Amino acid sequence: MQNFINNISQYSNGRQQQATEMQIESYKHYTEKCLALKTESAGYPNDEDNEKNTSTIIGKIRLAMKEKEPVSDEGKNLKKALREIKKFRKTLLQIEELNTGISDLSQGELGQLNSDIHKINRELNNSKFFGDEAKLSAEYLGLKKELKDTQTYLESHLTINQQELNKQKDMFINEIIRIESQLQTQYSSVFREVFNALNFNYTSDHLLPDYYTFINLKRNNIEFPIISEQIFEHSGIKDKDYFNQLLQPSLDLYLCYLGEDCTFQNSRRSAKLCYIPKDKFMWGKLGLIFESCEVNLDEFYLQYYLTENQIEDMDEIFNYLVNNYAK
Amino acid sequence: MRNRIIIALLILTIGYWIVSSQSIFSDVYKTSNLEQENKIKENQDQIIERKDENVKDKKIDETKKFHIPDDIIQEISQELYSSEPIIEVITASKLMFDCQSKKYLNHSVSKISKKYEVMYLKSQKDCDEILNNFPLISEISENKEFEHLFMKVAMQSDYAKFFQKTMAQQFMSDEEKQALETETIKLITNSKNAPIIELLGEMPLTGRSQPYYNQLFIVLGTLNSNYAKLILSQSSILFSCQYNQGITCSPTSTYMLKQCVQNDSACGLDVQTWFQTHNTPAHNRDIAKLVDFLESQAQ
Repeated sequence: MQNFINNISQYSNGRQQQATEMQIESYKHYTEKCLALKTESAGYPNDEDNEKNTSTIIGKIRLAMKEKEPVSDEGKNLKKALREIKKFRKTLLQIEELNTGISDLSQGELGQLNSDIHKINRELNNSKFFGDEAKLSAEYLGLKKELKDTQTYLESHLTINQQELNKQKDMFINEIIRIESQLQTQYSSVFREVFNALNFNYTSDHLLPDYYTFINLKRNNIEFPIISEQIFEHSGIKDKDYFNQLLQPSLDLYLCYLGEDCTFQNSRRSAKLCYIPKDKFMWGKLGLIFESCEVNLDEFYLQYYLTENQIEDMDEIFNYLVNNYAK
Repeated sequence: MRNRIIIALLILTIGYWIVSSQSIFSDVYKTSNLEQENKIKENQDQIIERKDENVKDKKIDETKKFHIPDDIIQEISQELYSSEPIIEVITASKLMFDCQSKKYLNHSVSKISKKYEVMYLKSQKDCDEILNNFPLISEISENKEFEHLFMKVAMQSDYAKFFQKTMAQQFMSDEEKQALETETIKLITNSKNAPIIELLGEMPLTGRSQPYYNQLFIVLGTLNSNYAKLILSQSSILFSCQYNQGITCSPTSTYMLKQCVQNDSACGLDVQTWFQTHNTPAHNRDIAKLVDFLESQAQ
């Protein structure tokens, strides 16, 4: 808390010299909620099956939730969606594994070749920045050829179980179609989880899928229109950077429309915009905006965050979401 | 070659002045002519006091060896892009840097369309012309040599005071750094030089640039700095089109080649036409707001 107050100038890119009362109050409220969650989960058992989550609060709560049967209709729908999301992620991992194949080379030779590839890649990176112009082309192309040859040699020693791979791919596409239908829901929690999963997005901060996701799907020869890409195509907007600035607010406002708590006291987005300091690599990209602690999320977007012109284009995205997914 | 251009860009834009700046400053300071020296001294007394005395004398012998040859002076006095030699050096460097970027872009593309190939080849002709116009600058391969040329020319220009300040940044308070940033942005906006104006879009958003962004927030009506940054980069390109026969906006400009490689329909278009066909009217209205703002700042 003190760190937040002392460093507010940094976290806000110098826009603020002091934290506002509302910021401090909201941050306190948020911390108390986290601490309460910690206390509540102290008695829960650790999630021993999932090493990653062992002993973390989230892991414990997740395990406790797994054992409880939801009572509400929303809870039941959410549990069903989460189960299916887990299944398709597992299938994707299996596809990746099968696509990697099994090599008949010795561990020693494999290690050497991988280290060669690493070395060539490093040289490629250096040559593109510091190469002499005249030399650049020949040097760069030479290294590229060396890289390709090494990769081709590695690939020639791989065996891929094509039959099993095709089976898993078919399964994956069917799972995706099943999950996609769950976007048509009246529950904001279900929509959020399904949307993030279909966007192949593990963190909800970057809405257009990252480069890694594209490469990963491409490498595994999976042709699947990512959900944010589908919305992009229907939005009438052609500039991706511009679209990306609109997608997050549109989705947030859609979640509000579905009934999510968008009061500034309880909205997760308001918290992120107002008082959750980004790590040192993040700050500078988007500073905290104290106004998001003063009005509810929908009002904040319309009054402080989006320009009049952006609102015009955002309407298209919002209407698309309502027309296609609202039940 | 890229190194020295980066140096030039950094001096002009944000001025994360590299470690060697201190010694260069001392070198230039000690070797410039009397009139220039007085000019420098007047402005720098305060800064020099704060400097480590030992640093001042570093590498002085090394720099005494460096003189700007007459033929280089002739080369940068061609007034192809500006009547001010330092602006000419920066512009030439930036254009050479752009040529390098285009080459790199071309190397990294896996699928090349016919339309892109045509544009790329045309852009290479422009690049050959730039290299022909600046044969000596383009052949300087030592970074140190380029730094010295750059600083010598800079210190003899009307912008000498400004460049001195950029070099003394490490001794500045946060407020002084912010003021310098504001001055840098003003100089860039007023430069009437397309490749330099294009640099506005590359300005990173930090505490230093926040005062400038606060103005953009008011003009656009947003507190979203990422959006303001996006619109600034697009509007600075559009604003730059009116200078230097629109070299930053032509179908072979770096910006348009980057669009062309991603989208075939961009190939052969200039920035103005591309924005009109590609952006939504609402998006273009936000860009226009910042173009108007840049125009008003440049007056």
